[in-house]
Amino acid sequence: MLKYYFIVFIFMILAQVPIAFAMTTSSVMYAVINGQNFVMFAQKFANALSDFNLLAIPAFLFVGIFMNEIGLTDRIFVAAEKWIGHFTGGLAHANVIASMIFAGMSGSALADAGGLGTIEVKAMKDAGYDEHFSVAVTAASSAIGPIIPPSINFVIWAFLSQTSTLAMFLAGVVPGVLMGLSMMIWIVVAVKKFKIKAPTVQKASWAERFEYSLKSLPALGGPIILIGGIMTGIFTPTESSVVAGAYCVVLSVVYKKFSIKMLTRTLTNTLISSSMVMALAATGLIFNWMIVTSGLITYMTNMILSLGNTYLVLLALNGILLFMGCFIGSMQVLIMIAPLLMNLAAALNLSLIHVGVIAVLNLTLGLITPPMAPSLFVTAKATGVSFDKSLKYTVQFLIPLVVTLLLVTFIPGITLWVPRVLGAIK
Amino acid sequence: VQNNPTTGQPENGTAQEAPKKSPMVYKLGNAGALGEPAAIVCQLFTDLVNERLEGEVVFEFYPAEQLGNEITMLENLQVDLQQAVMTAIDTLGTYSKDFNIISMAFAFEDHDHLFKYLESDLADAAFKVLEDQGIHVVNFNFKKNPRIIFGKKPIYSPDDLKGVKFRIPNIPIWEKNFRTMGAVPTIVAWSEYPFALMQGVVDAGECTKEAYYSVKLFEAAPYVAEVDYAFPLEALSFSKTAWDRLTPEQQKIIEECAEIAAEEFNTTINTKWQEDKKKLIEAGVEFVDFDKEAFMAKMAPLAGQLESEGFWGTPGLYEKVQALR
Amino acid sequence: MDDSNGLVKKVVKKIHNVVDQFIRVLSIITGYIVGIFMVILFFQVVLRFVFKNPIYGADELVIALMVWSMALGNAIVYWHNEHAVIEFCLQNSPSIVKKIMHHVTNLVVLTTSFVYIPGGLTLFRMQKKLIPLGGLSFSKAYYFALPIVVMGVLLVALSAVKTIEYLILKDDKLMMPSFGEGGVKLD
Ligand code: NA
Ligand code: NA
Repeated sequence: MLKYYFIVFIFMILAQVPIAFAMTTSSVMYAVINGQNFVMFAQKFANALSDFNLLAIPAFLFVGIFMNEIGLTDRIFVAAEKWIGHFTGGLAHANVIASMIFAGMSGSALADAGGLGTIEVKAMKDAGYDEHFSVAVTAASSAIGPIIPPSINFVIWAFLSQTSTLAMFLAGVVPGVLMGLSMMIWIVVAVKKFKIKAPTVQKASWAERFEYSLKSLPALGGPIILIGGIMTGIFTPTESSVVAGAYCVVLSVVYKKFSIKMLTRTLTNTLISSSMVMALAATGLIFNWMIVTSGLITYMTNMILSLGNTYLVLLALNGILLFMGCFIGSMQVLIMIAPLLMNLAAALNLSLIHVGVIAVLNLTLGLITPPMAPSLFVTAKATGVSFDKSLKYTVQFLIPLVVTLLLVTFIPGITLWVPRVLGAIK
Repeated sequence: VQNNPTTGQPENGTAQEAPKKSPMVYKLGNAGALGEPAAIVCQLFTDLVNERLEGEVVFEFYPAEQLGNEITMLENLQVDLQQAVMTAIDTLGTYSKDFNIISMAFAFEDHDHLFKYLESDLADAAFKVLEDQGIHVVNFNFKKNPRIIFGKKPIYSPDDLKGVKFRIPNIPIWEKNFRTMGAVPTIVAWSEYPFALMQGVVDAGECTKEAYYSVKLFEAAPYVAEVDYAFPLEALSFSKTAWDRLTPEQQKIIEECAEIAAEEFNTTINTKWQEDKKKLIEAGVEFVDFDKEAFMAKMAPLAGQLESEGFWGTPGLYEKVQALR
Repeated sequence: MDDSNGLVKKVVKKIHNVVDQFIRVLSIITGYIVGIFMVILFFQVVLRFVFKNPIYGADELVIALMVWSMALGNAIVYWHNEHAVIEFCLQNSPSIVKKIMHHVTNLVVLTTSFVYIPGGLTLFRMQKKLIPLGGLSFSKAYYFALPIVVMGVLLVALSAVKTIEYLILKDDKLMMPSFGEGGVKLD
């Protein structure tokens, strides 16, 4: 049942043909051999580009890129440091908290790892922390980015599975916070058990705490508008992203960072990044048509379902996703595997929202898993710290993260509670 | 959503004689999610037809927009990418403009009136337009419940809709309908409808009676006016090319199965609404005493406007349709 | 011989520069289109909340601009070699393998992007008759099928240029991602 076009596809992506083009190629082969009309290619491509929910992608990318240009995000870390720096592993905790807040305005982990991350690592090193541990905390905490809303992967999943983007975003809140908390617990354990150099800093006064919190307010505005707007339902996710975009522009003017040159750069960057995502979504739609109508997906579904037990199926699913996430970018995997996931969700009577969160969380862990560990790669490169030596500490963070993953997988309420309470799902 | 196409192909393969021909596969699509009435009836049709065609043609059913939204699926029919589809009959107006009149508010007084039109010579021409574009309608006798209007406040007459943000799908004639009634038409995706009502993105809307209960729109908008401003039908259409590939016997079997499925659909839908209505009243939903004449008076100028804007091709279509009452 | 060879190289370089300049201008214009639709959407939100009166048609205009910008963007990204790939298998392979794959990719783009042209034109003809949607004054064909046709033409043309220029110039930089550093971070 492994079809020729699927083999061609696998071969092509392994041989570094861009995934979007590999998906088109195998679909073209299928269409030619089965005498299907080429209208489908134009139609599916345009269908994806004209999807109102996908509008959120350029808008979120714009906010993320623009925020990095203004560069106020380090204030979040400094403020967090003032509050909890004096606890065991204090700066490491501040690092995680800063990432959780940063996640509230960026859909990308690598933006965190490469931008805010450099400042965090420098501050921790200056305070006498083990540099490899500092890099590990930074890389691991950046993985929260795609789980706490906004999240490009959630937008893509909502698009592919025809669920509500809003519901997906709300579903990510608790798992994202859980990721942060579990990492903070692990930090305490690791610092004590492995005797990692993590000197506590002097306890800040209340005046200092409020002073620095106030200073971080402009940077906090982004996540407040985005998450606040989404959670209160004042804005739809797409609307909140353009409002946050407008806020960024105002901030940049206030802080005298705005220039036409910078705007042009940000807009072309936004165009490039979002076109790449949209091309994947569009060709993914074409590819999905093929693997669904050719029966491949039915075959794969039955194969996985033959495991019988829902728990076993879910564990197997986690395994497959974790494995794929180690080698392939999360969104690319998501697009390729979405029809299979939807099928399994229907067969096992699981919520598509729950399955979507499980999938994205799995794939996100790939960011800190060898051999690629892209988050660690970016942080190590940006800070000039050794990738190999930081790998040990980074991989240890998989312990709290996998625990979180299992909780999210087997307790649907963790994902579904918030969207249910706020009325996004019934 | 499920990507598993469902076929009723016999498991043991009815002892085939010598040169075994691989069966023709016909893909049937629908926008409804599994469990929605249209998807259920499509499944029923698929099972019926697969049993009677004995493997010569095998139907696969794809629910939940797996093959695309309704317009996309009609495009698929035109180029034989997909062979059959069940859509709202309104959607056929995209390709044969005269059918837009079916979506015009208060153009028809009941299902009988609508069927008088659809079975008239007037409609024959419109069906011919579809045939010319590669769409062959097999059956349009799948009757959904009439469309109602509801809001967060009672709507007695069009005056109560003045300036109210009113949810519509992205279909031009819907905009005309509710702008004429005085509302502010606001496009909201179906999946965001309940939330949009809850959060005040829109304060009123419309849908078929069955959807009002099943999608729980009543929770945020508990005042209903059973104005019955339109009488929705689902239509089963085939790709003309694919239809012509079939033998007359196969075509006859398909038509018979569609008729059986339609009868089943109509019985279920009707009974279901009687039950739903009781539950709605128990849940505190108020069925308001509205002024239908006021609505119809307010809509009077619309027919002329639609005709002049090219929403249908036949001159005087509205008057001709009214003459069929 | 050497002279004519030099001339060919010169011409190819010239073509590369012209295309590059064209893409640069196109990406700035398209980037601003993205900016414009976000601004329209923002004003739509303001109108809805502050003035309780959104403009009917603005949403559809935003969609139209998005389809056009993203379709053009797809070609722009391809020119810059920025489309997502799996690097794991070939990252340490000899350069000859990378060269072969560069050509395979271009060939694949050349042949498969062609389908968008006839497919898009057929779709355009099918959609041209449709009643305009969402308050716009023109039919969906102009922002649905048409941009895809243009994208198909651009992709075919760009892949032809890429194939030929590498064969003649043998400049390995042509295989590298060429957009500004750090622009594309998605995970
Ligand atoms: Na995020
Ligand atoms: Na961090």
